[in-house]
Amino acid sequence: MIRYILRRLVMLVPVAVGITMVVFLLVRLIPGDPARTLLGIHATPELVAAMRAHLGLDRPLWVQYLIFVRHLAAGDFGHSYYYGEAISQLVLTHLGPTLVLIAYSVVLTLVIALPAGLLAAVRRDQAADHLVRIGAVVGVGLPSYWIGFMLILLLAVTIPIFPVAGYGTGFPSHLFDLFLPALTIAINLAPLVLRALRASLMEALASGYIDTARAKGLPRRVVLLGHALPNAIVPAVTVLGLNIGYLVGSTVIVETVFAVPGLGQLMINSIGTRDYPVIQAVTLVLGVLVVLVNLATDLMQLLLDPRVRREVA
Amino acid sequence: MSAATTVGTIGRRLPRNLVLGAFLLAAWVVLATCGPLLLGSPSAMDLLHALRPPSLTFPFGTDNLGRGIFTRVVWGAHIDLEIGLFTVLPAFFIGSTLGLLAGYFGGVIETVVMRLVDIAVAFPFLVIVIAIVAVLGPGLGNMYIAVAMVGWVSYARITRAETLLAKRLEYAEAARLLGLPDRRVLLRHLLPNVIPQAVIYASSDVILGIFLGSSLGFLGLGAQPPSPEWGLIIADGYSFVDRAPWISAFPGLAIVLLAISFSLFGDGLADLLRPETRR
Repeated sequence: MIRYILRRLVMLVPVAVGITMVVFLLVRLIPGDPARTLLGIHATPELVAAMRAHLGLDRPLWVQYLIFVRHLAAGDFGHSYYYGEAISQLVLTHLGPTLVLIAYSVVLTLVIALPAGLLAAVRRDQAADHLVRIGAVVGVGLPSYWIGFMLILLLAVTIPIFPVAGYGTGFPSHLFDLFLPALTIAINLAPLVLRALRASLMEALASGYIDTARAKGLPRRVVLLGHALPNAIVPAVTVLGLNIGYLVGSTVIVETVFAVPGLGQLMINSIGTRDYPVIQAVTLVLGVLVVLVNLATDLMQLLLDPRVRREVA
Repeated sequence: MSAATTVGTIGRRLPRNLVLGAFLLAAWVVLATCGPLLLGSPSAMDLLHALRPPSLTFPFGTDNLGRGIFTRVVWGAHIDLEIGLFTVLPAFFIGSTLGLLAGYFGGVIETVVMRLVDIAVAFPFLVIVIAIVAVLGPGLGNMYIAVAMVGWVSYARITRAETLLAKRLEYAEAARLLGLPDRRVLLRHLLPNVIPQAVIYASSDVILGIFLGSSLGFLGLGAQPPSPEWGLIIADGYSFVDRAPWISAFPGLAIVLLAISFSLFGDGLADLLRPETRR
């Protein structure tokens, strides 16, 4: 198992190289001369040349890339054009809300998907099952910026329980203010998880060991939660892991909708101010985040399922 | 599996969800093409009738500039269907071609294509598209470029996997043993057997493309005002959530209905093209 984990870690290296290359090349897509774009059309040629030298644009591309990576390795993302401060600092202050939002969304997704998936699997082809499945079809088909709107309309304007936007101060306040944003993401995500859970639960419920457990006279709840669920949970976790990229992408929209001061909001604001190094840094951080979470889900499967452990051993 | 069963299936009975989905999509296309001809301009302002709730004259109400939301949503259908088409087609063509070549020839082509795939999937799709649009500049055209740059990956993966399977089957081996040129084996023998999976994926990818396009519109990076693109209308409506919720509610409902139409059609198409998966 240690070897498997090591192998997964080694596999991260080419991905990390790829991510940094994409992020590096990203700003080369800027139409025209970046130095001129930055300085505006009234800049003198001398100024543009100085800026080119300052940005290192006069060196060969691969040298520029190596310099870029060396700076990254030192935790140096450069300075924001707009805010003036170090981008690493900027990213750190905005990382917290995004991480809380992601974790919160996953928790709410499970809170919705686990009972709904269990219900649908146990009451297979009955009214409850159909209801859950219809809800799942609709939930996936709702755009997150519209779910956000309807939640604000219902739970912030019509019945004013939650704030329309914000992040609050202190952890309990974060949880309260982020409830609607996290629910918005969970409504999109829970259907995928519950579908996987329903399918794998039905498979588990049809297996021999469940018959045995029932024949032993175990109570229904023990059979379901103690025997079937632990066997059925892995595909649901896999589906959650596969959709982490989608989840992280959603945070960009949801943070904009609910004015959450996270990385997504930083990115969108930086587009308005053409703060390219910040856009670069946020793209990099979100990419790395997805890779790390994927790694975590893979390792989680090892933890959850002894069969997977045997397979990789 | 074989062509005969597929044809037989068409002759006998089409999957019910395919028929319903196709009917709904046809209705959307008619609405999107004919609607704008019958209705007035989506940008016609009428400040005397601003923020009116839904009524007979304004079925979906009006916005803060007195523009009819119904008219805007119908015009928006045109734009959003176009977004669906233009986000999917380039990705489909580029991805399927690269996947087919990678799967058939292997070697350097395959290595390069698959490494590019690995890199592209490392990023959250929406984030990398936003980043590219941010750099190229907001607007629908640049959004299409950005989506094509990343979206081909899914098609390349699907087509490569299918090609790897198909080229080992007897008919492909036979075609090659006959000494047919690669071009002919690829286009006449492999392509028709490999492409259905990519088509099935494309049918569900269209709605993802529309979601993406309207998300970018919502964020101010896609269609630009005064375009009646649905995401853009919804973004406009946020300022009036307490006074005129109909501004954002109706375009959202439109997206949901369109999504359901596409998902019925996509599931039906999968049933039709993969009869063996039908229960």
